[in-house]
Amino acid sequence: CHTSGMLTPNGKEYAQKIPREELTHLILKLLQAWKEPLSHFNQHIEHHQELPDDSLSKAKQISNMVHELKTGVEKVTEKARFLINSLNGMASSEGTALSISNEANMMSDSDFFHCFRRDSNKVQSYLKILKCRIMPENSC
Amino acid sequence: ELLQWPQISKCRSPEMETFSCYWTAGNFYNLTAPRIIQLLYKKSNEEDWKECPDYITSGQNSCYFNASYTSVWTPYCVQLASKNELYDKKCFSVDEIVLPDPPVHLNWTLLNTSQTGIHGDIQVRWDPPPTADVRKGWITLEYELQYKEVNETKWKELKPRLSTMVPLYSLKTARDYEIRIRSRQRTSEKFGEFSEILYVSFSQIGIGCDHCTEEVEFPWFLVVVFGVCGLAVTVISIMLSKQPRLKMLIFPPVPVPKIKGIDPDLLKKGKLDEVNSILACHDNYKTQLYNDDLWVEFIELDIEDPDEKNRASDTDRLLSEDHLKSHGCLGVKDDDSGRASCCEPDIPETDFSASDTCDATSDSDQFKKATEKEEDLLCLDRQDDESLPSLANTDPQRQHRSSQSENSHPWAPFADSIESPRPSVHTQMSNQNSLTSTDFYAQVSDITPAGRVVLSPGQKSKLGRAQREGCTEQNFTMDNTYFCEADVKKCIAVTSHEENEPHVQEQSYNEDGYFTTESLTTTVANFGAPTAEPPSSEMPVADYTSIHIVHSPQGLVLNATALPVPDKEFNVSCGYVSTDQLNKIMP
Repeated sequence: CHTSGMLTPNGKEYAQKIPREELTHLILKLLQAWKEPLSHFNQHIEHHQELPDDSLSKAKQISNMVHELKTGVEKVTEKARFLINSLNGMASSEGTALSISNEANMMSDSDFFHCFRRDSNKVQSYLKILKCRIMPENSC
Repeated sequence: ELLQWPQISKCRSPEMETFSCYWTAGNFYNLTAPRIIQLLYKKSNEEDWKECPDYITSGQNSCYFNASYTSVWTPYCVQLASKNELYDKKCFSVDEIVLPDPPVHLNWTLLNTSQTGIHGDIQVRWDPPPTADVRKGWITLEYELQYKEVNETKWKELKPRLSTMVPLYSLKTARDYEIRIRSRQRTSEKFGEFSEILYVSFSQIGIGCDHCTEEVEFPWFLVVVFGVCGLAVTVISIMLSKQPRLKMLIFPPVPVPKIKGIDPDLLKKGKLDEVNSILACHDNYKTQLYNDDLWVEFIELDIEDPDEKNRASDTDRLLSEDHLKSHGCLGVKDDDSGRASCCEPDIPETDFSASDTCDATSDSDQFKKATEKEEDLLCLDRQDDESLPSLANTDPQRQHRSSQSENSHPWAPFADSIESPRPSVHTQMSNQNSLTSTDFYAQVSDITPAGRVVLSPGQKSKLGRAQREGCTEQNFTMDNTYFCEADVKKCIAVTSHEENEPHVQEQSYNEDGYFTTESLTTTVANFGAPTAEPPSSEMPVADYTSIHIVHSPQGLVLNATALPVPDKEFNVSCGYVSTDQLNKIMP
């Protein structure tokens, strides 16, 4: 995967230990890293006639969701006010760099699915931890 | 037994923080000394294989990797080997092998029971597996509940849900139930193990209805039977009922072909005469009936058009313009007004004035003009006598007769066979034995353009030829369609007896006043009715003359003095008396 080089916490404890800003940074970076490959993939499968229409619509739906998720995270971090602008900008630029890298363009379809599933799982877990850390409840 | 090598059966992570691998030893080593099996692992970014850190925690033939050894989204490879041999190898990443533990602490509570106490609703609650950190959201689980009656074999499944409680509705209080739940990671497809079975027994709570064991199942069979019987009874009663409205509502009648105004029953059973009479009342059939009678046909020609004159009978023209021509075209001159050829009902008034003017000017002149035109036609026809047997008999006799017949335009029923020119009307009439009892018919020999019917008495065209010539000299003073009676009389005198063919219904037409008086008088005169005195040729003869005496069989004696003018519309010229003249004449 083109995002394999990213240093991300591989465990719950690590995710809880790193600062929230860094966690947010990572989340945004991941989301940005998948923007370009998703659009590229959508264009790629549009020409595939054998795919059912459900798959095409689902892929587009996923792309939109990723974009919305990134936008939502940015809004949340702005409201939380703990993200420095530089960090924020850095996340976007790094993500963009990853997004348009050669690895992203050279992925096969199976690798694409595998990598996307893994990274989406990462984002989900990080966001859950982040949510618990931003809004501390009794359990966190 | 089959020889089985050691195999890695599965690797599993219950909470995405640790994982364990399990293998089977195989029966290979029972025979020989037990060898030591090792599990080696390697992360994707490492070079060396490491041995399992914990062989004990997960049980025998297992390897447990605690949180420090676990990198969730990192690809691992493990292999089962002894000192020299490699038995099995497996590669995976931890997030893919997540299989949660079963939920714990299952319990149920009664929501409510039905009024009869036979059925009840319960709510089942449980707790997530303790190992999974669901509170922090590190892992998200969904649960699937299955339940069945105790003595059943097949489990009923509910769809997976995220909540840790679910209601069960309509459980039979008389029966006991079993409930089990399993969980899975939300993004996965595989479920973990089932939880312990939860037993549900209503009798424990005290609401069990032991004596309600009888199953009050819905008596479908009885419902169907009674429904069919009731429906049949209803249908039969409707069909037999005398109420036509209800019958029509349920069983609307199939529309049958219907003739408006005719009772279909009559068609089935009625006599033919009745049916015919009924059908005759409808306009559609009238023309049919009329077409069968030849004497109904009318022939009409336009005098302005010599070609038209040669045309065959135009029944429609005659029929449609019958009234018009008779009234409106009598005195229409052939001027450029165009009225001569197209008479309208309102024209008669104006035409009358025109005829008045016509009369006013000079009767003789007008007659001459009209006569000339007629004469041309006559001459034409005369020469082609043989060729035009049925048309335009132009000899004076015919002309005379045509004038007569034109006058008697409404003498509708005339045979359209046009034969030799004859003073048909007169001759025939005189030949009548009994004028009162018989109908008079005349063959229509010609039709003037104005629409006057020229009557011909019979078939002797040749015979009439000589007679015609006798009349050629005649200078018929007439306007459009009528000849002077005097002139006509001269022609008639020449003519010999001729047979009479169709008869004229004089009686009926007398009512119309459309009787050609000249014809009557001349007819009488010709055949030597002693009592009849033909009026002098000089004297203008009125259109109509009352019948003075009916001399049967000799003919009629007309009252020369009486001048009944039945209709003002009749144009009078020459042989006709205008109203003014009439007024002068009339006493």
